[in-house]
Amino acid sequence: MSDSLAEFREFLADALPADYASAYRNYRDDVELRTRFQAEMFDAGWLVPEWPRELGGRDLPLTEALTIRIEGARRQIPRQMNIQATGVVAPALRAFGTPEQQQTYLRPTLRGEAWWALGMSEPGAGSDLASLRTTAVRRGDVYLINGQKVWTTQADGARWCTLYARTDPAAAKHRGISCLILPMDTPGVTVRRIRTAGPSIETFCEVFLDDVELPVNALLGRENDGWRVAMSALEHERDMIWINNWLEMQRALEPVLDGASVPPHAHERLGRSLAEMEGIRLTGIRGVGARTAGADSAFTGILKLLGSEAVQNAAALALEFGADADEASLARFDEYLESMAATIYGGTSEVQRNIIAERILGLPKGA
Amino acid sequence: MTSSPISGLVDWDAYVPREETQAIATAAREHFSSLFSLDDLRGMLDGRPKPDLWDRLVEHGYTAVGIPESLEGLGTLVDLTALLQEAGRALLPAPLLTHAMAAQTLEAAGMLDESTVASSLAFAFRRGDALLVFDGAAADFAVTVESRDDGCAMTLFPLGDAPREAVAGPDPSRAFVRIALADLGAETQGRTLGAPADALLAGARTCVAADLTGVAARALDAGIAHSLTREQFGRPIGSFQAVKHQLADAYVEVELTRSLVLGAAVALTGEPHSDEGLRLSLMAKASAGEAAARCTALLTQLLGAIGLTYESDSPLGVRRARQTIPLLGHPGELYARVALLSTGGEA
Repeated sequence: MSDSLAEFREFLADALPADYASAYRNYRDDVELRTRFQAEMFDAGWLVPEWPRELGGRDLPLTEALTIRIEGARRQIPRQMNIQATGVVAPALRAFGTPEQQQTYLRPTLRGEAWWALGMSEPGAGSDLASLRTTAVRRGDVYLINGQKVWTTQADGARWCTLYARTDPAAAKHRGISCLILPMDTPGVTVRRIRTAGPSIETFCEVFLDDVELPVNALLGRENDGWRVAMSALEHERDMIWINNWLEMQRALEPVLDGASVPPHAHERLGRSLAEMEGIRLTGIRGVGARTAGADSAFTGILKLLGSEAVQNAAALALEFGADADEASLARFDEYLESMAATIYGGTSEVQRNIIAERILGLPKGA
Repeated sequence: MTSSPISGLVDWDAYVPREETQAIATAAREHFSSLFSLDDLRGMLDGRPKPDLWDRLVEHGYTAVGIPESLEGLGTLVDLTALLQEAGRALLPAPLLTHAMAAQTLEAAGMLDESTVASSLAFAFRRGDALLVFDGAAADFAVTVESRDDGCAMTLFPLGDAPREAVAGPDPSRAFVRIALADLGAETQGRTLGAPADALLAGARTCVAADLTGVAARALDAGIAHSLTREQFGRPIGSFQAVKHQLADAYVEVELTRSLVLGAAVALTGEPHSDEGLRLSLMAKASAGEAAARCTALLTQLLGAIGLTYESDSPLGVRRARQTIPLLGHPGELYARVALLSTGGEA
């Protein structure tokens, strides 16, 4: 066992309640614990262990850092309150942010003190994100922003937003988009919550932008380079996606595996679900191995599609065959409902299939 | 977490592709394509004899792959699965898979020695008063594994010149032969083991999974190639989402299967009798069976009527897949066994 893993285990023993391993389900909605734990993870360098020390990491080699993350997943560590902050925004800040932006945003973002919204989808731009119509018009040293975002997760609790807006209406649609950092308390920003289908689904909102002014230095990345910011932010977190999906599947299947209630007719489905879970883990590890050898790992492009659908299958199994089929079934229904979001956000399964077919298999674009 | 199926530790280095493995696969792909033509497989449908490639395979050292160095072998089960994926992809009409299944089973039982390793081995099943020997027309020995109340029994049968009757099946290039037990001599060797049959068979099952992965990959690649060139309604059929999404799903299934095969091979290389290796071998074989069935059927569908002609290579893949999928358990049966293992039930 590596020294870092032993050290991380000691950290967990200190940071988590003594009964966490046996009673972690009781802590699932413990906001105080989840908040405190993220800050402690960051302060100890475990939140982003592969990052350099000056940015809050431990300079660990990738595989050692992943071992830490897998250990965290295996121990079912408390979920971050605003996962897109560390999952999507922080890598983008690190890759595209100016030194001043990194200085201002990274620490509160990683510690979980400031939440982020991702200002991407619009009423007319969902899967076809590049057709977004929110505009940012340059007037001297400011952008004047008008438009509307929708399905913006946790916008009601976010301090900042990575806002994608059209800065060059004449350019081809992918090339005229910029990413701007928007403080959510800027005048002209109105947030309206959308009531969700169940309590387990994170709040999403409409965000209205009426003559919002942002200074030019709010740009994250270069002007008109927003598409690259959006895509690379997702790319950076490819390893977290499979580790999280693997964790979600373990969580979902636990009530099924712990009991003897699975009827024979469901054994095949359960075995398939377990194979998907292992397949996701092994595909993630294979991808890391291929990258270590400097080889192409195009196959990791399947993990979003595979992971989201597999998590859904597992949640359905748990709903149907969980061990305690009485009062807990509503909780499992809520988790099932939550899993239904996985094949929609961050690129629907339909779009993922197009991407796999076109970018990995080389099939032509459709009409 | 009581039910976590793996330890927290990952042997990352084991998943970094090794140049030696890649070299074996690349050389095998080239060599296999020079050894025979798919017309040989078509000819066998009309009763023409199977090409005899065995001596050339042995000369090239393929039968040494995945065998311990103490028996002059080379490489690991990871290398052997890479080789068998190429054999599957080529639809190689030679008993490399059945030999590997038998050799891996003997090795797991501690019964592989200088004499058996240098022979042509085959995997077999006991059916009543006969042995059904998989691809065993020319084998010297057959290996069977049968469950017992408290473990399993492995038997090694010298086949000598016992009469062999070919059993009609979908793929005559990989046919079973029936041998009456009464025609076999008394010099069988047996061993009973305390481990369940599935543990002893983990290596063999991983070999079948590798072969089927290759069969699936061949069909997938042919399907992609056809979708790029065949035009209807004025454009390549691969531009239609109905086609694209099926190919994307098939690709996902093939890659998921490759991951499971690699995971099983890595686990069994590290610890031949590990629970994780057993579980992954069941998953890999189940997933490979489904992938081979899906991909060969998809290719047939994409090709249209030409895929159902004698001239087409596609039905040769369907035959190979369907002959091989039932070996050591159909996918549904194996998935159910995984579920039972994971819920603490009896497999």
